[in-house]
Amino acid sequence: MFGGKILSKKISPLTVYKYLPGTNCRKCGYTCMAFASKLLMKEVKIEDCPVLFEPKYKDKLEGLKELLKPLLETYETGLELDEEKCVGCGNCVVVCPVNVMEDVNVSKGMGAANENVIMRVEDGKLKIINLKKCRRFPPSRLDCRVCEQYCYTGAIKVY
Amino acid sequence: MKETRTIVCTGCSILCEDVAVDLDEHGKIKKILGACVLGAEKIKFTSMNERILKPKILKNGKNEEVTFEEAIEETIKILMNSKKPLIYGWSNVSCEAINLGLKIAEKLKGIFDSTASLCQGFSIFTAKKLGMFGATLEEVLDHGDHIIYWGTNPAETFHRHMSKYTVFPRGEKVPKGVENRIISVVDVRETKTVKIAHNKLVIKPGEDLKLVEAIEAWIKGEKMVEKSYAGIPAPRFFSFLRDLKNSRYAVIFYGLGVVSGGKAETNLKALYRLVELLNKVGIKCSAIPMAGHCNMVGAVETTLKATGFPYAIDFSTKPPNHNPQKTSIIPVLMDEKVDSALIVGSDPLAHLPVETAKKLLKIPFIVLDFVESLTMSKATVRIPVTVTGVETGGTAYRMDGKEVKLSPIIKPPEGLKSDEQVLSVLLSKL
Repeated sequence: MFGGKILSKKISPLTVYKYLPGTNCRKCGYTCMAFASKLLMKEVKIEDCPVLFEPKYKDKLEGLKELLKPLLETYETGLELDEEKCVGCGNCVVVCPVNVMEDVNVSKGMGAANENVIMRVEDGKLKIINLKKCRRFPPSRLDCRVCEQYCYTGAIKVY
Repeated sequence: MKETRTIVCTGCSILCEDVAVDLDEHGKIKKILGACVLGAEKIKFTSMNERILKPKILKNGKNEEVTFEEAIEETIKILMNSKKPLIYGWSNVSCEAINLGLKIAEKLKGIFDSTASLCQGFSIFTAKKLGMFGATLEEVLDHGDHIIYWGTNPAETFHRHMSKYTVFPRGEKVPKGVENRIISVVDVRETKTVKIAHNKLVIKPGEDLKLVEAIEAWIKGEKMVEKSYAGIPAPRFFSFLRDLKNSRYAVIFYGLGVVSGGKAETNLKALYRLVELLNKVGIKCSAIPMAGHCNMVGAVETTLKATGFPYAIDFSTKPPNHNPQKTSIIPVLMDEKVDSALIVGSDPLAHLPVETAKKLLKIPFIVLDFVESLTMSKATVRIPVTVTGVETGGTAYRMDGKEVKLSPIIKPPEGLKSDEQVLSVLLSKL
């Protein structure tokens, strides 16, 4: 049953495929469609397709690099908190999948989380204590935005 | 000695039992973990320097600091000289204090009323009468997969409602938390709760009954041909109905939006009729009222146990008389039926209609509270008390009717007494 819809911009394998040669030559070891999916999962790099670097595919190569730029270059990512707007509801704390891994009590809505979580509510406001554990950072580099999605007041912003 | 203690937060009627408070070597509060801003501010208040610690009496237009004994003496004088006092408040104090308040009202043959008469008292009473107090919040956590907020805005009034119990926690039958649940919100405007809902049902004011009737029509298999239902465009309404059909356990949390506007009885009857109908067709459903103050349910329960009535009782007749149209705070003040008041843990001057508030200012009144509210600042006698739940304990009732024990975690300031202690002294001297 569907529940929370992820509002992040998801690049689909079909979109990536349009920028590939489409020859299915298997020089990379896969069909072009499979290569497209693996690119998105970061199991292969653009450089693994030698055909793309031939002069006649120059436009496709440039287009592909542009399309995947946010995915490949998201190093500087983080959470911005507007303390004035935060009401300490804890939605972000409980919905965060990393928090649940770090403190299993959080999965049941427990507010007083331990010090290993990414963020918890202190003195009625959110406090971010372990930002680097967020899965937007390497090695995961996922475009996860659930904390922002379920914030009532717009206090938390993901960038 | 530094330590961490767990406390039951008394910010609102969710009564969160998992708030951890770090104390420093001197026993002072250093950090509060888990409580939302509402609860944290109340707990932090205990260590504020601006807190008033001494009783005051209004003499010749000036507020003079007096001893506790002098304040009690003046209070007794006012109440004994009064023909019919109003004993009001009660939703923020323990059940033990409420029992004492009832005894005082009975002894003085006055009017006993709580803030429940202006708020969810009628809903709580109706829920109990129909034997349908819904379910416990823990049951909603484990089983509820379609959460309907009707006429209530927990994003701004019960901040942790969704994150602690109803939506985000992962329960037995909803192991993925919010991804296994649907949130539907019925309201007359786009509130912050509507913002994160899956089904945003914004209806026209006063059309709750129309919406209930539309849902009932669909359940009974009638043809749905309108372009909109109670202001909701048909596609959006049908999407909600589809989600309702696929739910295993739908829980309706209803707030003041349903009972204010003069249609309380009609709306409540319709809502409970809908709950019964849904249960009949195999969609398990419960309805739980959202009571605001931390012990509003306790005020109704305690009053019911002692008198058989939920609020608004006139003890001057034998037997005592209950008629909210005549014996609750607004009519007794407007008709000038009371000539003094004892207000405990409430701020009526900030909540009553202006004309009624003006009437309250014309009579002498005593206020027991821990914070200098608007009402306390205009009181004839003001007696500061401890913060229930942090400095003193007692019994309280959660919004779903569960009894909760409150235990103190710090000692109150020197000389400050609890509501229970003050009322006990008053009762013994009357």
